[in-house]
Amino acid sequence: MFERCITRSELLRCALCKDAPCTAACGTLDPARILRSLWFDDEKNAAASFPDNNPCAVCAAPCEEACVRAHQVPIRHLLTRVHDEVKPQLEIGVPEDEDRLRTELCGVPLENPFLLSSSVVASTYDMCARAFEAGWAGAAFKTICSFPIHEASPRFSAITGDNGSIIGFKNIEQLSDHSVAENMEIFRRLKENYPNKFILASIMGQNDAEWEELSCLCEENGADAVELNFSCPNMADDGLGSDIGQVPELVERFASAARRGTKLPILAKLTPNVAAMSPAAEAARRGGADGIAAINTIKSIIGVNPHTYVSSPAVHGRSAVGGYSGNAVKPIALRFIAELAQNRALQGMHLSAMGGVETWADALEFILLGAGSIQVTTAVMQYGYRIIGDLKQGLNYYLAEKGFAHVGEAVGLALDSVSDSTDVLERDTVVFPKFHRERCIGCGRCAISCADGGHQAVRLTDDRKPVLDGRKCVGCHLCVLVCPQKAITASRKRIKREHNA
Amino acid sequence: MLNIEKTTNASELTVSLTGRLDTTTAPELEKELKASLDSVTTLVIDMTALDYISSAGLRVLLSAQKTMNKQGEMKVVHVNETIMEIFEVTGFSDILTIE
Repeated sequence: MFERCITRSELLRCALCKDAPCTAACGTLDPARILRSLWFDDEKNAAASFPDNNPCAVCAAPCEEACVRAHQVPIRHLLTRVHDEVKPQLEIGVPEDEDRLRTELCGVPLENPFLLSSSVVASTYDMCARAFEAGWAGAAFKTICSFPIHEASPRFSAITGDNGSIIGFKNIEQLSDHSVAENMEIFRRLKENYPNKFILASIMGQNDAEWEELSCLCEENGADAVELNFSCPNMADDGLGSDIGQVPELVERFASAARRGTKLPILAKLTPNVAAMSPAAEAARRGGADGIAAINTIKSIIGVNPHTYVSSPAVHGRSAVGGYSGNAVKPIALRFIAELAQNRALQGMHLSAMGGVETWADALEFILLGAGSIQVTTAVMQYGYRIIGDLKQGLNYYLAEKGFAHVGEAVGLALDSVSDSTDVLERDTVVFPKFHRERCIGCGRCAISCADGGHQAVRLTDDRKPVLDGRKCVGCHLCVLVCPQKAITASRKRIKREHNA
Repeated sequence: MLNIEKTTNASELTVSLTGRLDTTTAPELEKELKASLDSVTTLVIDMTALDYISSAGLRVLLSAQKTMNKQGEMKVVHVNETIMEIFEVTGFSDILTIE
């Protein structure tokens, strides 16, 4: 089975509830858990663990009645499709174990590649403990510093997709508001109670001495590795945060300082607010860093209020540029990870990747482009620690299905096909779009986009069927992307095209 | 079940597959190819009698294609309609030379 059967768009009315009433109403299955798998691109695990006899076939669907949006989510229909459509196509059952997810970060074992990234989601003992219990392999604890932090309110803003859920997220939050001593106590307790979980201590110093001292303290108190925050866009004043990451000399200097303080592996967390990340990454290596964590958030402005003219989040009539994250930034993050992974001067460094990971398939993209571990915050803020279930299951299923023995075997497999420039691409052939009549509803969106954003090659007939003019079509595939029915795909063959002189 | 038959003609190797290339059998093909691609400049995979290909099978084909990109060429011949459809939805039709 190579294409997703059930898409998120089919369950947009599902609110992904806490202690979901649908599951409480069903005596047989856990519909909420299955719906969540469908939401997070993990229908294969949902199907593999679904009973052979479909209990929904003979059920009056009390789940739909109990739903917080009563009768608005076709739960019975969706579960039946998991049984009838997905299950028969599966290549394998639920894998026996998750051993193939085991990996390492600079020589330190990781249960799986998934860590919380340094932020509010990893800022207290209780939160990290709950995340570890849920299945996260470790956490990059919220950045520790020795100066006072007082946060603004409100401190987040978002742009949303058509169903209202967050796709891009902005924060103006700074660092941990606990004292260094409080944070060290948390490290000790976490390490004592969760010795196999990975503690990545994120730190930020104000000068060489502080970088050295903080990294030393983190080692003494049980951290497994240290992450140097050279990239927080909300700490950029006075030569901190992303101001450092933009200056390779400072990156090297402070990485050296941290190196003096510890023998633990060191990751430099770098900013995407640069044209290229390699200069800072190479500087970090010269300073003694063993790996790179990227990307931190992207400087952004969201939502200028048309009445007050203040952008969002508005704090007493003012706002500020803040860090942008969430699924919308993933393409930018992927590009930076590929840049680092392809850089020969960085070979052998661990890449801990982040930027918009929600599903196992997002994580896989980073792994294929060279990431050895994956960090997540925004999706956890939006959906909770529970997303680790489908991240792990989904990736494990994919690896088993493809025949990988370990996740490490997949690292970097996509790199040889990525070119920094479009100049290397073959330009002598064209792939036409193919219209699937059985799925087409005759809306004509392909014709509109081709007329106004393409090459006027698609015409809608009187009976509302799209027709392609092969002499005009350049094979750009805009129509494939705009079709709301997914009724246009690439055709089978590349056709030789004569270039006009 | 998968039957793998190899025919060598100078530096051209033809691998004819019969049966199913799936999770169980893909490692067999992987092993065969690993052992026999040295000094091959043309690899032909004949799919006349291949009924099915799984994710694991695609992975083996891709790795063979990547090996052959470095040392010559690879062609996939006599692909049936079911497998052709799989090549299309997975993007393999853009990577393989299918004749």
